Amino acid sequence: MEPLLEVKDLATYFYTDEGIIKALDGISFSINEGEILGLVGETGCGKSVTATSIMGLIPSPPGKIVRGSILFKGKDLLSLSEQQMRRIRGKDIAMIFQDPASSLNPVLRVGFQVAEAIWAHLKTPIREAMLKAVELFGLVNIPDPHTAVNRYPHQLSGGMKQRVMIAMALSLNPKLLIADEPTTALDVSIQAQILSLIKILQRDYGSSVLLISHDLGVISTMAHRVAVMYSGLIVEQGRVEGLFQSPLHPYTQGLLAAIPRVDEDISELAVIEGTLPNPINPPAGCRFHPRCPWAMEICKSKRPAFKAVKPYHEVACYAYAD
Amino acid sequence: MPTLISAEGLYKHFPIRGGIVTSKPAGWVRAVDGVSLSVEVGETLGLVGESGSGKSTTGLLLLGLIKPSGGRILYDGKSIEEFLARNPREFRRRAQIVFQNPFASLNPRMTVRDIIGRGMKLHGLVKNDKELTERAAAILAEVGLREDHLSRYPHEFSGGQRQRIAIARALALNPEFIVLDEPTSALDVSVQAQILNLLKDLQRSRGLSYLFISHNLAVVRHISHDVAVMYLGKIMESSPKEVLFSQPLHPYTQALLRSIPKISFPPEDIENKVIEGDIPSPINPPPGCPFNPRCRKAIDICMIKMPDFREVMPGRWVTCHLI
Repeated sequence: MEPLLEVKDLATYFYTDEGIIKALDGISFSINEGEILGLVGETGCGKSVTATSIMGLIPSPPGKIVRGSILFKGKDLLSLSEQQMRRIRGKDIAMIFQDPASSLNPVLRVGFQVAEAIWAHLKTPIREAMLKAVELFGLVNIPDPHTAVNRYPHQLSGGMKQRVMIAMALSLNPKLLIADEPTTALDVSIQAQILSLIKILQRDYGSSVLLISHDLGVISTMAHRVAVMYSGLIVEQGRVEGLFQSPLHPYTQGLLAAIPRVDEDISELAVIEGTLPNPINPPAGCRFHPRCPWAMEICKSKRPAFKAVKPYHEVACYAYAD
Repeated sequence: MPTLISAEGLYKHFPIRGGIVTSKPAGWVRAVDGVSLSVEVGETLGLVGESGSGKSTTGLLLLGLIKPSGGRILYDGKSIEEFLARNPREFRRRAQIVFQNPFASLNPRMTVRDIIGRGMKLHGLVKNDKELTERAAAILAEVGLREDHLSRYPHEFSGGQRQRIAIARALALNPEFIVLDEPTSALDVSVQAQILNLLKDLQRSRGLSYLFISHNLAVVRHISHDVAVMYLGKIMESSPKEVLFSQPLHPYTQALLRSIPKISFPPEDIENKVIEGDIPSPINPPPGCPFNPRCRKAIDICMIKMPDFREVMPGRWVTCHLI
């Protein structure tokens, strides 16, 4: 089966006064139809830049996609003009962000903002689009949708604003939904509501989802496959069960051992020694080597290639070279 | 364990200013609404709750940084009101705080030495500059930083290192009690683990008592001895950590624990774990039990009468009509 989205050797750099930030330095992954791919990693690892690169929203200057390709339904998005990209953005690929408050226009009624998106892409008359907005609000479980469409963003709670964003993202029935930390700004009891909504919509609408999160519990509950990022690179990817039950990369192992669990007692949390590398001057070879308990000579000079160690489970680490 | 600090029936209601002309408040935000808790010597009380539940206000009340609208707080058996009136300096020395955001809580114009040393100087804990530098260096080593960091400024450090500086500042006065208000929420998971381990080590070596405020139940489980769960200004359940997580009694605690996405296989069905509805506003809480609009087990009385906070088993306190 042809994947819906295929990212190949994507590299996005930012040219700043301090030097070149290699935010993404050659990442490859794909998302199949109806699949949820989880992207995990810590601050600055390039999760969000991956999303904005796919959406064609890298601010330029200072940012630039220096190499690679992003194939969406077989077509390279990087070869499209801004006008062609505009038609895809929102309609074929929609995105929701961490902070719904900053993604909504504070001076427009939320129903209108959803209707406007429908009008902009389909030229549906705004009255009809408003009715569609009411329907969508009901779909995402906003209570009393007829009244809610007339509210302004500040009148809604964080969870409700994120529902509006999801309603907007769904209004055009996109093939791919990119959700960048969609529940990080929300309370625990609201987080489950939003996650379950994303799951229902993926199942009922057959959309694919790129779910970005730093929360391994969220990824484990939601995703089919997962890719772990570190310092602008993907270090390990595979099916969720395999990857979380027997992580291969020392970074993934360290990460899983470092998180406190709500369902079990851990007497001492494992610590990954050292700090995240500087993105302007990352370590040569494997970028994790200065913090890696297994580092060998070769790790310091040559970047490891991806290798399928088990079925559906790949890792970039010399420890698994044969 | 003897109790270091305890609160009984603590209230804090903030007025909502009506307008420019009238000074009469238009309403009250019932941030803390009848809270009783205690922190034992050398132990950690984890205070968990969602946004607006009154966790941070409770922390500020225990430190005497804001005045309660009602109720009383005992520190070492003495009323903190009296303690603060008689010897405010001594109380401030003994009770310290570490905030969530180490990017906002450290003065960017001060060197690390001055940040850590200022309190010692003001409290007369050091005789001269040389001794101040020595003491500051020793504390810095205790939190895992180096002596040469003393002359640097906060912007030269990462988030985790800054949080270590904030902890060093709190330790400088040799306190007994530290309120940790979401100390790891702004940090990455790998850094969070370092800070949590550090806090545990310091507690062991110095016999510190912590009030650990967090929205993250996993973190609270890891660090606490006892846990209190807040919702809309009230404590819904409090008990020793082990039983709270293994057999939660209150429907809110049960729902909250169920709704957290966990790493488990086969993956959980998130759709079955949802707590319906929104958190009500603390300005206009629902009548009866504040959780009743979202509670699957709610019966008639829950909508009319606020349940009492009572001990249902030794050491286990619950605010619920059904238990």
